[in-house]
Parts: sequence; structure tokens; C-alpha cells
Amino acid sequence: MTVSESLVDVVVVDDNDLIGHSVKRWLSDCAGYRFLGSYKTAEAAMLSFKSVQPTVVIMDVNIPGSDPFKALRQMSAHYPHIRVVMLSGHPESRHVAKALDCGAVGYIVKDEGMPHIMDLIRRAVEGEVVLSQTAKDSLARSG
Amino acid sequence: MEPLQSATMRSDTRHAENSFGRTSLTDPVTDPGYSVRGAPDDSYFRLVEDLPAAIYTTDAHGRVTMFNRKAAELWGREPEIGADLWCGSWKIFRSDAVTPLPLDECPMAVAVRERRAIVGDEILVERPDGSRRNVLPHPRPMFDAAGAFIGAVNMLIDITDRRQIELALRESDQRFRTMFNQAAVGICIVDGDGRLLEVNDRMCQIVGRSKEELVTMTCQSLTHPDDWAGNVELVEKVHRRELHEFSIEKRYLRRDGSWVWVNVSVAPLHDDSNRPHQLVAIVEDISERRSFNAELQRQVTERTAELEHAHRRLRERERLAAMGTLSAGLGHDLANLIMPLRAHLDAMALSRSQEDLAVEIEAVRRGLDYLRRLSVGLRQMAVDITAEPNSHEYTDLTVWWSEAEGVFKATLPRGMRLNSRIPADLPLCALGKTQLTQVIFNLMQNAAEALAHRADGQVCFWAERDPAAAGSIRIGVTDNGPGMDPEVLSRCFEPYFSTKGPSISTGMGLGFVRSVVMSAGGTVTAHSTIGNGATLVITAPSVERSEATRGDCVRAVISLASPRQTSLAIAVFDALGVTVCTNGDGARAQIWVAASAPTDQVSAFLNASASRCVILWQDPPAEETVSAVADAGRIIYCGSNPDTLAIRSCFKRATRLVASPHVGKEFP
Repeated sequence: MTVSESLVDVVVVDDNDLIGHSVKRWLSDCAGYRFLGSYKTAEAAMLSFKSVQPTVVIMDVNIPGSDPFKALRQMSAHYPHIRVVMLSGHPESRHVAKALDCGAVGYIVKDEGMPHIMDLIRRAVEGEVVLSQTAKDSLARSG
Repeated sequence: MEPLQSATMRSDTRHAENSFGRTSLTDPVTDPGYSVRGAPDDSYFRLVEDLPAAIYTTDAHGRVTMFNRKAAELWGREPEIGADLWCGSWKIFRSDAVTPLPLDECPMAVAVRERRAIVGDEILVERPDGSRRNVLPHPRPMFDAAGAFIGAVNMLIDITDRRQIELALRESDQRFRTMFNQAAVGICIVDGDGRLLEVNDRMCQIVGRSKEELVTMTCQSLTHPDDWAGNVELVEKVHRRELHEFSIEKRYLRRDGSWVWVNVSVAPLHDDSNRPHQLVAIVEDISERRSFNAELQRQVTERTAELEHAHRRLRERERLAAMGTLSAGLGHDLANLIMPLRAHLDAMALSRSQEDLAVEIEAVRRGLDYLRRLSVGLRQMAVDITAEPNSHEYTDLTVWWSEAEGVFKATLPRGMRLNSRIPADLPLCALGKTQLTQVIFNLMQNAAEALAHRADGQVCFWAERDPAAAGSIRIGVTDNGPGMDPEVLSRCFEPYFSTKGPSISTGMGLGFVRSVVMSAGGTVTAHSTIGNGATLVITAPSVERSEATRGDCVRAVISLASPRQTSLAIAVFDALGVTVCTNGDGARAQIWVAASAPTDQVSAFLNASASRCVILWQDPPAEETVSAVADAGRIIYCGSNPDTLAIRSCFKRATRLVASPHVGKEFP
């Protein structure tokens, strides 16, 4: 059975509730995906991993009071099977590079529509390292 | 004093027989037959005659009874045999050359009177012509077989030449000593082991030590440890004769523990066999010069920092002014956007038919698309303007304008019209999106300010192929404002030049535009006449779309062990517009990414017709491995555990190498 045929559990880490709601709403129409929950900090999300571990974590880069890159390293170290995709309003290449270096398997800038975001997440779950178009442009432009 | 003897005394046969007898007198210089005066003519006396020393004899009363050629030369005259007393000279002085010495006190007179040999009393003999000779007399008494005193013999050694050499040496030494001691620079003489043998006063001043102390020290104990290695190397070169002399700036340790900067010029002193056995060092205190230089450097750094700070503030002010304009316009545009979006959403809530709902959804989508374009345009504005432009970026003006237009509209005063004219088949522009946005934003702002009081203000952004040059594109911003007079037109690109006054403008806008355009290989010109508006034209390199998309044809084949590394490599290549080959078309790949590979495989890949370069996911190998590959310049090493920056950097180098026409020619 391939990954895409099994149930994909999704956790969202974003201080903006609207993001969690949007993902939850969208996943409700996507077969094979299950929304586990939305957390305002990475630390809170990791606490939940003790009971249920998601397949994929969609995490913001800018979370007040939380260091997402530190959390990213911890997640990569302690839960290497969880695939973390960063979803951010920051297109700067330094954020993209740092996220990938810290273990993220994708970086999506929040200017994409949900269908495309879900497609990137699906590919990330299947093993690709994915970048949204704006993240690609940023990475290509920088030194 | 005894009176001068009469001529009869000179012919005293007893003395003549006991001494030399002969009395004939001739010119000692011109007469070739000249011989010992007063001496018997035999071989013994000829020997005396030929001696290189002056010899003469007196009888027991001191009367000259014989003298040889050298004696006559020394005196500059011929004494009268039997008449002249004590010697042939008329005037003699003590060794101080000042005090006259009476003839009857001369060494010969003392020897005759006291009947003993006199040794070591130097005298000066003055010739009749006034010249003087330094003489070392050796008078000895003479006795007959019975022991009776019969006179004295005196050998006069002319030491004038020796004395003159000694004097010259003494004067030379004195001059050296004076120079050594009174020199304005420090001087020291150092032996082969680096010990200080002699130092002058200035040297003592420089290092704050006494001569007595310094001559117990070595160069090493005086020199700063950090400066010693370089010093030793140079000294050894001098000793090996690889270097004739050298100068070095270094630090000496002063008595008070402080360090003094000196410039030391060193030259060898040679021994008799012409080998350098000592060194003479001229030491110059350069502390002041260095501190002056350091101060100068500090001041330059300070002023540069101030200038940069002022420049930065100007740029910030420019940007703040731009952001202010932008915020005001954007606030209005967003408000205009929110209101219809809410209206459409409200309408959606009330929609009764599926068709009505679809219309409202489409309207909301259009609003969001506009919002997205605004977001992209804003991001282009927000990128750091000091960042290095991407020289490989080409911009599709049609696409770019669709994203940037919203921002530009938002920054123009209300009521001002913004038009555009961009042909569909326009080539791509060599300016990056960000640079283009910043440049056109500046030009738009200038146009907007020129049109500030016009109700019918219009700004037009246009682009066209450059009719004058292939591979070039012209981009312009034209306004219908009041235009510029010739003086303003000629100065408008000068830094800090502004017609708007310092409270409104920094005067850096057009200067910035020009620097950005020039860095992309383009030019910018201004065209205007009074009353007919102004046009700013950028001429920039361009490429046809077919050429620019050639990068899409760049293919890479990736064979890395780790799935994550492979995914990461694919993502980065994808971002750079490189297609990653699947197994089927791997043979057409120009770039091969491998974890590590044997040299023969790398060579084989590089020699394949389509290939351009290899990225090896490993640290650089040994020199011999590199040299084994024919074209090692086309191998790029990522490192064994590269971060994203290293990967991007390597992949960018690879894509540049693939795009390089030079490589294309080498490997058609």
C-alpha cells in the first residue's frame, strides 16, 4: 500500500486560527486525509504527539513566543517519520533555506490557493521536497 | 752646544778608516754614480748605499762622517762631511710637529754624548724646501776593537707614509665616530650571532636603554616575538648572500616594557675574505609615522562610516518617502477591495441559484487575484535594494507588469491615469523583477511629482524593441508634465541634484536608477522639452523568449544514495529551472549529480557529447585525482554534508557552466 492510499493525518501549527480552519475545511472534502488538530505553538503540537503522531505537520515560520526552527529540529530528531511542511507568509530565501536545513520537507508561501497547497502537501507526504512557486523564485534569486 | 766642526775635521783619516772614509760628493738624485759619502769604495759600503733606510755615522764629537743616498733624500740636502753636527738636517721637531728640537738634543746627539743606543723617539725633519718627514731614529754608539768610543751610527726610518695612513685612518675613524654618535637615526653593529657590539646614542634613546645594557643584549631579545621569524629569515638570506641588504618594520622592546615601532635597514660588513661577518643596522623610530597612519586610517574609516551612514539615511529616507506614498495609496486600494469582496460574500449568502453563486464566486476570485498581485508587487518593493542583482534573471515584462501595475497605481495621486503599452512579442528584459520594480517605481514617482497639480496628469509605461540595436530593449516612462529645461535635463542624474527641495527629495532617485540599470549592462537617458512632458528611457539587454527558455532544456541526472538528499537536489534544480531526468533520458543530461564517483566514470560523463559538468556530493578529492580528469574545472564539489546554501551555490555554478557559450564551443 502506498502512502497516498493510507490515511494521512494532518496537524497545523499556526497562531492564526483561520489557517487551521481553512485546512480543516479543505481536508473535509479530501478523501484519505484526516485533520488531527490545530495548535498555536510547536511545543503544544509536540505534546500532542505523545498520544497521536501525525503523518504531516503544516507549520508557520512566524509564531509569536515559539521558535519554529528549533521545534523543527526537535521534530526531525525525535519524530523523523513525521514530514514537516512550512507554510509561511515569508518568502525570503533565508527562511526557505533554514527550514530545509532544519529538516522541513517543504516550504509553501501563503500566496498559493488551497488546491495547489494540498497538491504540494500530498507530494511532500509521498517523499518529495516541495517548494511553492514563490519559494522557488526566492531560492533561485538569492546567492 | 758644540760649535760646528771645521772642514779639516771631515777629512780625519782615523775616523774615515774606522768608518767609511770616502768623501766625494755628488748630486744624490741625478748622479748615477752617486754612492755612500765618505765611505771606502768596497762592496760592503755599496751594500749600505743601496739600503732602503737612511744611514749615517758621526765621529765621537758628533760630526757627520758618512751618509748614504736615502739619508740625503730624507734630509733633502747633503751634509758636509766632518762639518755638520749630529745629523744632516738643519731643522728638526719633536713628534708633536710643533716643538722645535735643538740639534744638540736630537737622539743622535744624546747617543753620542751618553754613548748609549736611543730607541723609539720619533722626530720630524724639515727639509730646506719646507717639507717634513716623520722619522724614527735608531742611533747607536760605535766602539773600536779596544772598546774606545769612536762615534755613532744612526739608521733613520722614514715613517711619513705610515703616519699619513694612520692619520687618514684616524680622521676617517673620527668622522665615522662623529657620524655614528651624532646620527639622527639609531645605528648598531651586530655580530654573526645577533649580539649587539656597538650602538649609538640615538639607538639608546629609541629603546630607552644605556649602551652598557644594549651591548649585553641580542637582536632577538630586543625584537617583538611576532616580528622575529620574518627578521631571521632576511638575516639568513644576507649571510647566504642571497640578499645584499634589507629593510623591515618591526617592534623593539623598550626598557619600560613598551614597544616601539622601528624601520631597520640592514647591510652586511665583510671580513678580509669578503664574507659577511657583521651587520650594520640603521634604526629609525617610526612610531609617530605609524600612529599618524593609524590615525589617518581611523579617520578615513570614521569618515567613510559617516558617509555610508549618511548615504544609508538618505536611502532610508527615500524608501520611507516611497513607503509613505505606497501605504497611502495601498490603504485606499485595499479598502476599495474589501468593500466589494464583502458585498460579493453577502450576495453569495443570499444567492438563490447556482448561477448567481458562480457569478459571485468568480467576482471574489478576481478580487483575490488582484490582492495576490498586489502582494507580489509589494514583495518586489520590499527586497533589500543593496542585494546583489541576479545577473541571470530575465523578466517577462507582460507578466511583471500584471503583478506590479496594482502597486504603481496605488502610489500615483488620485485621478492620475496610468497607461501601458507592451507588445506581446517583446523579448525578455535583462533586469530582474525586483530591480525593474524599484527602477520603474522611482521613475513613476518622479512623473507623479511633476504632475502633482495637473488634473489631467497621465503617466505611460511603455516598452519596445530597440530599433537601433538587436538584443536590446527600450523601456520608458512618459508623463505629460511641465518638462525639464536644458540645465535640469543635463544634471538630473547627478547625485543629490533635485528640483523639489530637500524636504521632498533626497536627489538620489535617478542616480539609484542609473546605477541599477548600469549594473545590468544597460543605460538610462532623459528626454524633455519645456511644456512637453518628459520621457525617461532605459535601454537594457534582452533575450528572445526562445533563447531564454533554453534553460528549460538543461537536464540533470541525479544519483544520490539518500532519498532526502535526492529530493532536496531535485527541489533546488527545479527552482533553478533545470529538468531532472528520469532513467529513460539520463543520457541527454548535461549535469550529473553523484554521491561520489570513480574518476573514469567522471571522465566518461564529461566526454559525452551533451554533458557539461558533474556535481560530486563529496569533499574535494586529492590533487592527483583532480589532475587525472581531463577537464577538472567542470567538476563541482558540494561537500559530503552540504547545507542548502552550499547546494544552491553548487547548482547555480553548474547551471552557469551549462549556459556558458564558452563551454558550448568546446563541446559542440
